[in-house]
Amino acid sequence: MSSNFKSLRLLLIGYTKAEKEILMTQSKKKLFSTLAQDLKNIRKRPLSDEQIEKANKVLDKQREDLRKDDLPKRKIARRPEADA
Amino acid sequence: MGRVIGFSELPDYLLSLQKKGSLKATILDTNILVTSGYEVREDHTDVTQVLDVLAASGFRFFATVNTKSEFLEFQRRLILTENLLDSIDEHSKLSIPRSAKAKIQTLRGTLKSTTGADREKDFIFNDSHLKKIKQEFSAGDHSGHQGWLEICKLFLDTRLQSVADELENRGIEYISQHEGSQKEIFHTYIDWPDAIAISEKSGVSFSDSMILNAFQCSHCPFIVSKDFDVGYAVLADHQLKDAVMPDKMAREFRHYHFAKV
Repeated sequence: MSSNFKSLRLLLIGYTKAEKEILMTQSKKKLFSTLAQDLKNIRKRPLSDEQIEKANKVLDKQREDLRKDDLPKRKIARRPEADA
Repeated sequence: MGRVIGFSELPDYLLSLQKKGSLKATILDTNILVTSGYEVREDHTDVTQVLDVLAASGFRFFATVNTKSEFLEFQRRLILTENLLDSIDEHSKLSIPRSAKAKIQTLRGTLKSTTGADREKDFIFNDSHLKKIKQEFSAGDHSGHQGWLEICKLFLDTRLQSVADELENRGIEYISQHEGSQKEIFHTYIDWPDAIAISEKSGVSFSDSMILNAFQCSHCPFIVSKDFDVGYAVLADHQLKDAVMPDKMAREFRHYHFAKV
């Protein structure tokens, strides 16, 4: 997304994030940036302890895999510095 | 002919609308509502930012009968998918018939292959899948297994209403021509012949033509959408107004040689 869009609040509306939140509170409306989380909370599933433990194991494994994937990239990223 | 405005062009576009004194109201297409409410979707952050910015600058948001029902339908399928997949886990507390378990496992495999082939597809059962799964359950509890009606009570009861409430909490109004507070929004009565004409023009689905027709009958200067067909219809019909869409989609239309009016 362009920097043009990122500075939309300043360019057009002139509201900071905090001001925007105040505006939303005043109008009794919620921000859209909280919609996904609110819907996720509604969908919250009644899991057994075993299921939660299993899900955490899967997440741990994913994190470990990501960490492993990241190692060669770090090496590549460091190479120019090492050459210098 | 309408224009397709990319998200990055929004600041200048909104300024031009402000100068014209256009009504600060817009219709949100289904995919915009779904994308904002489901962080897994591509463009989730961009769409959410656009909506927050429009809301903060005083825009009113509208959902049509189609966009609201399609959004709720997505949520219904999502809730059922997540819970049904949990129910076949070896540690699940639920007791479901063996045939239902087998059907869910088979259809989970189908989902894996379809989403693997197309990254834009959601890992969510479609209605046909859900009907097949439902057929493997008794309606009432039977032989120690939970029946489908109990499953619905456990998974869906009050949740879909809560989902609908979340739209309302964000100020999304359901379009109704009988609603007094919406009188200033419409200039024409929403009727079938115009919706049919929109579909005839570019072959757009009836669901989309109904959304576009409600938009056209309103004073809303633009619709926010992520649907290729909506952008296409806007560019193909000189009577339609503008569509605000993600940049990537807005750029795509350059390759389709629409006649310039």
